Amino acid sequence: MEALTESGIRPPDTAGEQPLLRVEGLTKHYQSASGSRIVACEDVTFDVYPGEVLGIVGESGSGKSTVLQCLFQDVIPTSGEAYLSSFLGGSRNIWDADRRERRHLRTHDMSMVYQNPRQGLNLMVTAGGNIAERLLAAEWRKVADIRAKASDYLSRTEVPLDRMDDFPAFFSGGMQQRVQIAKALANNPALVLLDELTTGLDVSVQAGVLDLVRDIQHRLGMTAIVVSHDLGVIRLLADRTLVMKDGHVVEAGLTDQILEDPQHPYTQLLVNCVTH
Amino acid sequence: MTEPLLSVRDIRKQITLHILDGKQVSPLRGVSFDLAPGEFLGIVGPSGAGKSSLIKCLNRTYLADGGTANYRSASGEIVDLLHAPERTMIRLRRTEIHYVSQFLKAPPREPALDVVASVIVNRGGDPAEARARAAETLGMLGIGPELQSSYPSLFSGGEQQRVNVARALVDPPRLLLLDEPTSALDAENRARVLEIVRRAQANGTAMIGIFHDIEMLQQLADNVIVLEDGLVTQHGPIGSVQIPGYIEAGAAEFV
Repeated sequence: MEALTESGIRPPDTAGEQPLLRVEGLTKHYQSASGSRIVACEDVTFDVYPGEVLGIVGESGSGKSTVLQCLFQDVIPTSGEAYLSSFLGGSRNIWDADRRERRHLRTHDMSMVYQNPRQGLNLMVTAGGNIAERLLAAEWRKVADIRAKASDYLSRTEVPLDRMDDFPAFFSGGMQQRVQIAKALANNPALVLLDELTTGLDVSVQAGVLDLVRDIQHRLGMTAIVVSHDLGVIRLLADRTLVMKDGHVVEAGLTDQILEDPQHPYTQLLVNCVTH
Repeated sequence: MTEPLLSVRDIRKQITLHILDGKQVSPLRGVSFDLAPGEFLGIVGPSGAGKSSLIKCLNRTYLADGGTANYRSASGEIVDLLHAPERTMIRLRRTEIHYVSQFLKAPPREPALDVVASVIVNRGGDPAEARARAAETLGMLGIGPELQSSYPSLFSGGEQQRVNVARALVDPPRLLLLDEPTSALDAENRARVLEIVRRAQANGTAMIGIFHDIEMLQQLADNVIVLEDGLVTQHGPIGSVQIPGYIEAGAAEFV
């Protein structure tokens, strides 16, 4: 059957299921101030299957966040193709979408939880209002429905309902993150993108946010890409994992295999740096 | 003769340690055997012989460098466990192949009862029934209600091992891979594990098990493989194989 390629990366899977997302050859180059070319990510190819959580691990600067930003249309890639089965039946490259379609992708098909809640939330709009914004963008119209949905998701993410009409600016970091998660999940997008969602939080607060995501994963069966530099987060959440270094995917496999039998020198280093 | 459940041919495994200047070790140098449906195959050998590597290759926790391991799934398809798509392995692990590592790797902050019940829930079972069966299985292994509601990370090594066994046998799989599941258990708890493994055997579960405990081996195994330095040096019915001395010596520590 399929052999490993020279780089040690297994060829893409074909287990009969149809992937929800197919990414091929995603490349993003930037121009530095001095005019030289900076590779953010290069030739990144992977699939995500329905109900699966895919992990992307790597150090800062490895390009892992760029992958998410490109998928969420925050950044337009230099080249590459991506097909999402919920978007026009997977017939159109999401990076060929026009402005209206792009908006649809961001409001209906995908959502993003950013490392910094400032990017995902309007801190001077109430917690409930933030979720309402997302639902309005996804064409929800009835105020009563929106209000009910907002309180449903805030309680699912353990945000006290008496804080619903307060501004997230005055929330703790952990609670801001939970509001962001509630907002991202409220209209049930096909794909959820989670970018370093626990980085910068206290360890105990990290645990709470991770437990919340695991709980949602179990109860709602969401499909997600989790980007983290923390192998502990990846181990807990991801079925399969990509390892990125200097903009390239250096290794991909089942998460336990990546952790117990890492092939690439960088992954071996990463696994041996874990202190617990 | 019945078709084998698993047919392993010439598994090879080499590990290159880039962080140690490319040092190479070869835990498996060409291992072959067949496993019949419902058979219990014991694996013995000195430490470093490649026993765990073999089991991990079959579970795809390790990537083998050569060979095949053709497994006949419940639906009748033949799947090479060494090369099947990752999504296929995820499906088989969820539904019919279960690997018991030597040490419990349970998610943190999850009560023992839920850790065990999740196996059935992930197979599409009813959560309430899953919890009832988990409680029963844990109870059989001497993990009472008090412990069931606490986190396994707080448990002793022996208790963790029994949670691990409970997870494997709460809903017996078609193929069970056991890596020293009783190494931290006293005689009483080994007897409990023996009992519950026998029930799964009677239920038709095929098993490949690494044991350092000669008694467990004699009571469970149909056939035994002796693995030395990455090669099979003996393979046959439990009565016919010369069990090397180090096995008994190892078991004596726990008696």
